[in-house]
Amino acid sequence: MNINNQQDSFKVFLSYSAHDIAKKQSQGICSTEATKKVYLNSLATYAVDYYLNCMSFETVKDRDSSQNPWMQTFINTADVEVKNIGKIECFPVSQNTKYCQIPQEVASDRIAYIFVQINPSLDEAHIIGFTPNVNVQSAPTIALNQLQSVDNLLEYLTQKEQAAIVNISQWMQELITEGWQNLENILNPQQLAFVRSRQFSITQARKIDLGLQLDSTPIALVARVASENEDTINMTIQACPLESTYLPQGLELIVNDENGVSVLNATSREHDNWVEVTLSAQVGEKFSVDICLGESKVTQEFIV
Amino acid sequence: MCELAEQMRQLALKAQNNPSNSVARRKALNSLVKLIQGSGLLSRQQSWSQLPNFEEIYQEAVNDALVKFCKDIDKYSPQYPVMAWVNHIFRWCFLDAVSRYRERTQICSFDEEAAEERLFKDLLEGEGQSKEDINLFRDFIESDPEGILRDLHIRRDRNTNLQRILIFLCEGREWRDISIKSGHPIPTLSSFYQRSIKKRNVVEYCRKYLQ
Repeated sequence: MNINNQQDSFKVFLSYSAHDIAKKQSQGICSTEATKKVYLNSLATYAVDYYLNCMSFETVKDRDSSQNPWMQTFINTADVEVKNIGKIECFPVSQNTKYCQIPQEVASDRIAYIFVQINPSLDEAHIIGFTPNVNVQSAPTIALNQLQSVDNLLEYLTQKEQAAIVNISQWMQELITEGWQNLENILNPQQLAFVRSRQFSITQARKIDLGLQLDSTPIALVARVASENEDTINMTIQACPLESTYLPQGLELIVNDENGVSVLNATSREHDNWVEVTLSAQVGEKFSVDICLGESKVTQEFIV
Repeated sequence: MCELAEQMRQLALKAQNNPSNSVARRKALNSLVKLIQGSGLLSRQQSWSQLPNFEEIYQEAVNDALVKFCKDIDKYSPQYPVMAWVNHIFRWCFLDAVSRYRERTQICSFDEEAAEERLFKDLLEGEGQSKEDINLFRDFIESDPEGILRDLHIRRDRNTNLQRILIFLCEGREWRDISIKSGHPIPTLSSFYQRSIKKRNVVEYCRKYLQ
């Protein structure tokens, strides 16, 4: 099994930069066991991050100011965030490992779990495969000989990446981004009456969940588009509640320009049925919309 | 040999002919990198082989070279063998890895260790010290001198705050246990914990009192 694993796997050397990071991150205050765990997690994370960069996925690095080795040691996580796609959890495994249990604390917001075989001298890692998001409620056990291949991982992530950016010119050609639907499929008739409008040629909506799986606030993000002239479009972006009449108070809709500078925003008050922002954009312009509620944030990127 | 060179050239062309970030390009690059790694045709950089820690620098440079190769695949001209181009990049990456190695701070002390056990022994030596650190840490979270840990809580549940979770964790309790005690599901607790510990003010707070 090991030989098969290695043939399909992707090799990454764990040289001094990998170990420098691992050492820095494992300098927390904890038991021997925990230190070792954090160290291996860090090496696995390095390997996955390296691999994703090779394959031209952009990963989001934790800034130094958010590194917390003191408290990180208490939680067995090793995540890599891929820009626009989400977080991936990395699992270091040894050459003899056949099964691996995904602990419940590895949270519900991971889009994939990648398994990284690390050799005993800790100088080589092999990305052996992955499993897409699983139901962590059951703390599932994963058989390492049944993982999906690295090739499938590329397909899986590329698909997610493409769905992450809404391309408005494709909408104009009736190519609707995955995950977006007609309003009628998402909102009930009463809500439709609120948000209906004739000024726009295209209206699409996407369901988003703010907050955690078990305690989430489902929201519809509605985007309406009308072309002003050949190079300019007008857009209204709205957030509406999906399971109640009113939006939770304090829900923020923020529009950021290409450089991440916020240019527009709207916040819901008590008993608001929706919040909206209106903007116009040139062909080729990129922007993103953050939907924030308390600690939760979902970002949607757009390109015109 | 020729066959391998041709296979590499075809994969490089395939990568070039597909748009960046497409599955086809990524798969071609993935196969190509694996072929290069397994080919034994990467330059041995023999003129440097006398360097102490040569192996480490070599591996670092291989990593750097392959990532650069993938990024710059569009610059490859197919009339040359792929390996000639890879080794050209590799040479520069090697020089760079040597100088970075020399600039590294001396804090990292396990350059020569190979075996896992020795590595960890080195990392963990002075356990008495670390016991003291654990006490220092416990005192810190229990007293929470500026109240920052207490103030971070799960929504309106002021009782389930970062301080309380940390105290449980310090006692060696499992997440399942904390979930039962607090009435929040594990994913909620764990997401809250992961987000909270990365907050700038929490990190600065730890630095201030623990470093």
